[in-house]
Amino acid sequence: MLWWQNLPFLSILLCLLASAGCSLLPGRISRHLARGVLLLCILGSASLTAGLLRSGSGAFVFWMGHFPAPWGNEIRAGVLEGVCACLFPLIMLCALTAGRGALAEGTASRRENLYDAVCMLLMSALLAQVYSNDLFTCYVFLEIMTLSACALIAFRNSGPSLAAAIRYMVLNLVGSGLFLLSLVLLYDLTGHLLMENLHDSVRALAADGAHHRSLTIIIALMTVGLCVKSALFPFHSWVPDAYSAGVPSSNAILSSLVSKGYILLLLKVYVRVFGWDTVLASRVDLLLLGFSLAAVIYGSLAAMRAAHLSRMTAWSSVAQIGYIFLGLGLGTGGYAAAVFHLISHAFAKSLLFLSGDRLREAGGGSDRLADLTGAARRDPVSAVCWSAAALSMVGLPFTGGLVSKLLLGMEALHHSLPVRIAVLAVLALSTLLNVCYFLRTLLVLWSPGREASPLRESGRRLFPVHAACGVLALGVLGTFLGASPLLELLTRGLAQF
Amino acid sequence: MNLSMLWENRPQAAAVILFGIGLATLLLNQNLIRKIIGFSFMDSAVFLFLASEGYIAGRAAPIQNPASPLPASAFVNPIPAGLVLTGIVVSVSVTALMLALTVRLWQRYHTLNLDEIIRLARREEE
Repeated sequence: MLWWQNLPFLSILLCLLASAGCSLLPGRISRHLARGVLLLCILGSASLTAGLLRSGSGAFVFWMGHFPAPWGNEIRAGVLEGVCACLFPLIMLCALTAGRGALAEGTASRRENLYDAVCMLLMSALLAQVYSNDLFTCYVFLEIMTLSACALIAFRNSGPSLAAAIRYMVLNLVGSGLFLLSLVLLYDLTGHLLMENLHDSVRALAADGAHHRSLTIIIALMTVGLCVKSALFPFHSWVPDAYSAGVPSSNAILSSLVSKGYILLLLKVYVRVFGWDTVLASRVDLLLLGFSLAAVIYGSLAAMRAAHLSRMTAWSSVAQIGYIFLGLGLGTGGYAAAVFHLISHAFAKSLLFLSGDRLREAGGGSDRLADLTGAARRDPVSAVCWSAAALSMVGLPFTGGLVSKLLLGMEALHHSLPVRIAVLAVLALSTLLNVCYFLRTLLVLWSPGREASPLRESGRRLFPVHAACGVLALGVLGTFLGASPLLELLTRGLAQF
Repeated sequence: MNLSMLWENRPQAAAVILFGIGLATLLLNQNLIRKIIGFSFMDSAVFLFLASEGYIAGRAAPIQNPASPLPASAFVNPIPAGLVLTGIVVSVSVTALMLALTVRLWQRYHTLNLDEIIRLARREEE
């Protein structure tokens, strides 16, 4: 065994331990502990990816405590897992760094360490979700993720955030209930929980044809369960409140990490458990296509009507999640586009939330679009970052958003005529809608407004926020400039996923 | 549809019906406490399903006596029991968090009706 093969397990364990540690330490120490551990996770995942690429051997399986699979718990890591495990802690690190000031204002500052503890718990659940090769382990960490995400929303402890948290919980419990039921039915049908064994059994069942109806029900339940949890269109009702009621770092983490974790799990289930042929046979792909196309249009229309910056950003999440599911619904060829958009959206959306909060400060504490006139002049760095992310949402050149839209459009060309027309028409229409509401906001931000009042904070306090936003903005730019190597990496990762 | 098949699988059929009741309560009932009860129903139904699948008539609990070891065919399937245990832990923690949120909301708004709470929260936000 090579040394870097221990890294996935170590990073999960380290996050769990850090979570326990943060809950005991005072806020000023726990902050450094959390950041240090996240940094270690990024470095670890980067060396894991490098090790995998250099050895060229493909994904490997790791038995925890050297107990072989049906008895022990199995971890599987490949290039795609490595890339995701680099990305998630990076975004969490940026969100924690940039959101620290707002966190201290929004809550009783004594409890800052608990925020770090919840974030680290969420991180370990995300990483376990990424690496685990056992469906039931995935379920357990799925629930841990839901619980910690709920704690993140409720952290502000104001009425609206508590109400948003309970709405979030109710729909997410429906989602996890459906996922659990489908998991149990699948176990009942096959007698396995490990993904490789499940795959063999499902293939045999599909070839046999005897359990076609049961398999269809299982695939549909699992898909719908995870769609509810990641807020695909008809199940999105909790999104606008949940993504705008919390502290800014919570909003960024929820929209760009938590929902992505569920989508990654769905992708894993499709690739490793069912295989796309079985999904096609169950016609669930039509469900995904229909929901995602509707999500793209509906999310954009609702975002146009929003009067607050945070709500507009939340609604645009609904549309963007639609793009990712559109990639999944297009099948094997669309997976790469889906994962690419997952990455570019994770950068852009967290940047929108974090820099949007700075603009709210610059707008005098209100994020009504009307109050933001000229906010860009008072905090130009945040405004430039926000604009970069907004352009990525629209899909203009030099941002990752353009690449993912192109990939989706090109993939749609390989499909039947109605699908092709529907996807291309929706892509065109949604780009138009995105231009409408993002450019409108950009004009408001950059237009000369009220006389520039100096910001309350000193530059020293603003520096971490601007640095974190800068890193995320580099990510937005980097997904465009480095699109072809990243895409190659993803294709390679998907081949061995 | 074969009715005798339904009768043979009556624990599973009952579990799925209970799941449906729980799901409907969780989604449709506006009272937060009833929602939580609905959630418990839903999870318990899944546990009933698992437990009934793992049980094999005429076999013993999977506890091996080292003095006189028995073959695996003498025991029921132990894995569903393990899954149920894990599931119960998850379900308990979710219920605890939901109840804690409900207490907070009650202290603030003095109602358990979710629609009412959302209305009041919206007004507070304005």
